[in-house]
Amino acid sequence: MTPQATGASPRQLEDGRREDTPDAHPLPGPCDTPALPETGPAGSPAAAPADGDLLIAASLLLADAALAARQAGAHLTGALTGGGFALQALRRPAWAAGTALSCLRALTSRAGLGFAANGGAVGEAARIAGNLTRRRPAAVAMAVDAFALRIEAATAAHPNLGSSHARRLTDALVAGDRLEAVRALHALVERLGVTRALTTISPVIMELLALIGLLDENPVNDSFSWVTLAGGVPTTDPLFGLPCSLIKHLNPGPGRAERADPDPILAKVLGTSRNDIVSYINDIGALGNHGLVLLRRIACTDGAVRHVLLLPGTSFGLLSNSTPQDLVGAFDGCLRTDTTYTRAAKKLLKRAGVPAGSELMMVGHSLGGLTAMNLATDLDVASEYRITHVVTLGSPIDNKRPADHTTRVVSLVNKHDVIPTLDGRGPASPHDVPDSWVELSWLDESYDYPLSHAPQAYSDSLRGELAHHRDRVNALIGSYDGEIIGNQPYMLRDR
Amino acid sequence: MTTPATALPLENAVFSAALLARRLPWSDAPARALGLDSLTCEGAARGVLAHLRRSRSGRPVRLRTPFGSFLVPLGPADTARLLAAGAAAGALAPAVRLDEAGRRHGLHPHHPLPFPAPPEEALPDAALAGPLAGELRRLAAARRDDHALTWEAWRPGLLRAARRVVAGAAAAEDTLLGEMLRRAAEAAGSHAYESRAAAVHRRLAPYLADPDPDSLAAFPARPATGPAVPAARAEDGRPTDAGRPEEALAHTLAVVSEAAVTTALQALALTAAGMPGAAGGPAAAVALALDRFPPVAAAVHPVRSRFAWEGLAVEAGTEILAAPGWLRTATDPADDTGAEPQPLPAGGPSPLCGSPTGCAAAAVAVRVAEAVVRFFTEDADATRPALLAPALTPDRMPLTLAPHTVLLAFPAAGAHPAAPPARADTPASYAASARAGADRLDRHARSLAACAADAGWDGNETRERFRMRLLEHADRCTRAASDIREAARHLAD
Repeated sequence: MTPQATGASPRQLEDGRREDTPDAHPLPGPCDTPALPETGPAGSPAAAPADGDLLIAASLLLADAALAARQAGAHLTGALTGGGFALQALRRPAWAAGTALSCLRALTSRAGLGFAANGGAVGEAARIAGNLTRRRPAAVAMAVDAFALRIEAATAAHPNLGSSHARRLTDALVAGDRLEAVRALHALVERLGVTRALTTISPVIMELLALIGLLDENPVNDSFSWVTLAGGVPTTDPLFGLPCSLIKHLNPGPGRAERADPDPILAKVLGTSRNDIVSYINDIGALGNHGLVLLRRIACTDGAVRHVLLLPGTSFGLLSNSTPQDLVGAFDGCLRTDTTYTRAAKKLLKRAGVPAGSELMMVGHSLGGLTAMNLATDLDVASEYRITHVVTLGSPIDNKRPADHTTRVVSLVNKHDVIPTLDGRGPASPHDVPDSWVELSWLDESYDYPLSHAPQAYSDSLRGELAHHRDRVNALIGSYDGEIIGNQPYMLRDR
Repeated sequence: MTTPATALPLENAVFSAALLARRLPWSDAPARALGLDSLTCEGAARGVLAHLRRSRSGRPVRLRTPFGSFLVPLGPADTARLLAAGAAAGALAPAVRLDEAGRRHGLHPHHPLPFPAPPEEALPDAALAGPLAGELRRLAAARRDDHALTWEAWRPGLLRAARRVVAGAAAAEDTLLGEMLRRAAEAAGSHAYESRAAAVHRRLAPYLADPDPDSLAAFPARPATGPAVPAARAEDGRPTDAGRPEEALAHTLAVVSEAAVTTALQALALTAAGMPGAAGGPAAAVALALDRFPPVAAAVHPVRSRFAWEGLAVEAGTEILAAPGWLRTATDPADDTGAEPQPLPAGGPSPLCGSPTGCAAAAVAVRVAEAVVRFFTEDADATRPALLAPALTPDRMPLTLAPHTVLLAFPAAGAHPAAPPARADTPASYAASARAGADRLDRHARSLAACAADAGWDGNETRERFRMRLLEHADRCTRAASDIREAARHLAD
């Protein structure tokens, strides 16, 4: 199988246009969906959208309806429990009784909103009671079907999701049958092995976690599901509902940066390096995942001196090690912006004496890309330096935004790679990246994780059939063409 | 030559306690609930100042508090003259803002504009009529279903408008510029200020190098239309050390942003509440807002070197507390007369930036704030704004009006007269929200039903199942909308 550039998901070009693959159909955004049936009535073949698009359009409609129903429930709950109502009730008890009755009827009607009280202390208590007694309001029913439609839509681009074992798992989770889901997952792993099973369900992993959150009896993890449905950034974990900020306690340390000497392999690779995306990926590969990063100084052809920071990704050996490049750091970087990696990188920039106002490009793989984006969101860094480019490889960055609106974000994604979907944006997710970003994605022959995530897989793809993507990225970073006048590796530590 | 009188220990204690109590949440809730303004923290602090004014013949008094020992002039005129004397002697260091809990906050250091122009010349009508109106129309489009503009929409919208007016169209999107400016102001007086100010200047440089002709950034490059005036003269005619254009533009942006975000909103709230002093139009409303709720209600001016004023020796190391916003009390008779406040005093301390001797940028900022008020009260396709929160009555001016507590509705001109905006947190306001929610659910029901009617669902059992689910949800939305509408009818009764 040769690598294929794909446009099945909403990918943006630099000028805001979609990826120009022949089978690309722009996904309707939430605002577009209400118009869909009006412009394409039943029986109008000319207006009939493609299968996947119809499923996604329907999922967006249902998601919007679910959020509207939930909000309507919150409004009525607020009306009943607010101080204004209590004051009026003292003055007009008969009116209050009638109003309370009609509000309660609307909030508990099985054919309408269901058990829809939420918001505020009283509303949340009622919602928790409903959750524990497995009452499913209309909003939850619609949200579940919205996720089911997303999963079905993703199956079109990822046929393995349609296999009987995968479908058994997804069906069980949509039905809220967790015992059957565990059995199905066990069968899937037995059949495919851990890595292939993970790869199979990875395109819809966020949807599956959101379904668990909605349909279990834990009332405090529901916000994960609603945020996922709305296309936002979850602030709790999907299983227990613990706040993401807790992870900062697992990844402490002020960060430290020390100059290091390149080993012979790294020195050899750096000796042939240049301003080329494939070369940068090879440099990152040579840096390894044991804490080394590289700061490069370039005398550019226009006379300016610019800097490039290369940031490798996670070491998978241990959950936590002495460097910022560990698994805990990866979760921390995904959920927050101030991490040991960013702190250490900021110290590196200070220690290296990068002049204030210098133009800086950051290239990162996986956690390194996340860290590059986290640094770009940091007001201190964005104020001190002119971050012109953030180039990421296989990084879940879609829920982050650089502080400087002129920073050019280039995201390279192998769609077999699990990691970029961890930001919650799967193939059927409703939210999109900003128009100014350039996201280039493809399917290559590296199917299983972790091979699909390796820098070498990205490098191989861009060197071969996807050379046009390489040319495109190189054109975007052309201002960094020039003579390399300094390559300084730094060893980053947590403390 | 005399030294300032010192307040009595009891006066110091009451003033200090009032500041300290502001740090305790809900400490003055009972007094507030009972409408006893003079017993609230603000009321007590202002009461002490009023007492000092009456008992010390209005001469400045030294107040000792846990937050510092301050020399406090007790009238606006004295404040202006004392600060002017200090500034003329070059004795004053940059001011910091003192909030009502005694905390100090950095103020963006005052920089005179590099052009001694009246505000209408510095900011031509074209810059207000076109670009600002465009930004405000964009903001108006972000109104909620009940036509209300929330603080979360107002603040970024007006910050964007300020950047557009001051630095040009290219800066409108530059949220980083606003953040850098805020952080530089916070760091004023600390060692971090220089680097942060330098970053702001770097950020502004491109906007000055290629200025938008409809922005203030273009003014230095614009040919003079009036008589030539030496550039190195201040707004009040005295020679100054007018700095770099970046510094002046940064200061102007800071001041215009504050006026557009805070003062304009307060002026609109006063207009919507029907305050007599705001009835004279946008200029009167803005002047009233600045008079009663100046963004820099209290500023501390450190004295670097000794100077004298009207026979009073002010020693180096003294801190002058200029608090025109605190010199008005809850029982001030002007509150009841509806007398219109005076426009910004020329040469007096600026309520927007804390400058001791006036600020031309503040005059520009006032003009922008007036344009914002004019847009929402006269120009926009909306009727008179309605104040949803907080509850203000025309006969009782509050001592403070925090902008984030203000919620205004701007009903469209053609809005149904039977559904006027309701005050926040009342059954009527919930009824309006419920009606809007019911309408939304009805729209969703129609969309879901239409989607289910699409021919693309034909083909297999799975899709047919999804189609049926869509229809079920459409029915449920319709039923829920009906229930909610019935509840809304009861709530609105």
